[in-house]
Amino acid sequence: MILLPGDKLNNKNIYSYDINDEFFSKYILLSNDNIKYNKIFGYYIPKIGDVVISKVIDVLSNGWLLDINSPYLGFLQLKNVVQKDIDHNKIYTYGDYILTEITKITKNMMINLNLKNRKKLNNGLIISIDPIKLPRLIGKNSSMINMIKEKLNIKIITGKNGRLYLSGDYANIIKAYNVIKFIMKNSYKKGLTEKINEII
Amino acid sequence: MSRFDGRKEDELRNIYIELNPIENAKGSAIFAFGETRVLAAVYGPRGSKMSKDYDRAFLRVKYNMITFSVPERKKPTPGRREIEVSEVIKRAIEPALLLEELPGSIIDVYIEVLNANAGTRTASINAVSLALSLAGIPMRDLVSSVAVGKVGQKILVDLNKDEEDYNSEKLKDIEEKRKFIEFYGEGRATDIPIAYLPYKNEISLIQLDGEINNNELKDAINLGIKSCKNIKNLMKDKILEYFSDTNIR
Repeated sequence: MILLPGDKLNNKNIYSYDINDEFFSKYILLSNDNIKYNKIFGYYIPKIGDVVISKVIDVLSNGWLLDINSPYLGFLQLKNVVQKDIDHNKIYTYGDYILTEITKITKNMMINLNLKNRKKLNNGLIISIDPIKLPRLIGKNSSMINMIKEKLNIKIITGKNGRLYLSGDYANIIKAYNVIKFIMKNSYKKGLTEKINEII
Repeated sequence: MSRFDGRKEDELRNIYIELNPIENAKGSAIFAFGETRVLAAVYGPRGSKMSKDYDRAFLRVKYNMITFSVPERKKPTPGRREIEVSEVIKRAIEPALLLEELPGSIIDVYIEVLNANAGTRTASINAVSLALSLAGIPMRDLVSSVAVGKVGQKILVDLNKDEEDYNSEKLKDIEEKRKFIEFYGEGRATDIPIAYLPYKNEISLIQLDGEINNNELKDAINLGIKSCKNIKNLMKDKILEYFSDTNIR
């Protein structure tokens, strides 16, 4: 069952707003039993401990400003990366993708990040998918994504913010890209893992 | 005898809705009242470098008419009218959004009028509210909007361009349109766009261009609210249909 903004909900949850002790939906939601509600698409809200792929959008005197594909910007401090006094444009500059971890979120939504891996993610393909649909791509015990990795012999790094980094053979990356697109389009169907197995 | 295009007094023009025509936008929609066709696209919410002092998201609305959307080519530069309509649409939509949940972020809304035949701002509001809901922006309700008006002596809903420009004095000189004076009556046209918030039973936009008396205005507004409710139900059905067969069951 699909619920639209303004539809009445049975209980209070993070997707509801209330008027006079009655609860209404804020988003387009999916529910099977009218008790548990799920979002079906949306944007990424940062959480502490999440590993995200970020893009450098500004180089400041004390660090880097990062786009983490969410409503808020992330910040990576210079002292977390290098202690020496060198030009930090040479470390990371505009347009670089890096793997980072969220360490701190302040009350006014300043997001501090720390490096997870020093290497830049510049030798592959970055694609963005809907962060809400990411669990479907990973599958149970990461079965789906492991299958794609093994069958096509490529590396996939997933960020919780819906960015994926694919690296490996060029032709296989294109194949994997099409498979991921297929999964995103059919994310609601059952037995998807077996179907993908056949396609590859 | 009926209106210029054969409609009844409380009959809307044909409504056409298309959801997510733009793949790269977070949410988008085409909404059409007859020949008036509007495309709206929503990008974001995205982070911004502005002061973290803001306690709510920043909504930016840009309304634009495509050069070939009107009979005579329109200059593509945004003029006084475009800036005004952008602001009007923004204020009509804002009360329905929960912008305080996304402090300091930016939501961009782009509106392109593909074809204009009166009622572009009302069609825009409908398209924007569909696009925002498809972008996953927290909102209290779908906003719906329609124009009502007094043409000659009649209270009508969803005026088209002929009715908006109605003038019985001028019509007397045109042979094939003279018979319509019988139906509409003497006088000129008054155009009243209305946007309606169903959850609070409130009106978030009302503009008036022309002359109308108190009682007629009340009738017009009631007719407008009734039509807005119908439009909202139509939009709702369209979204449910979209998710039933394409994306999610």
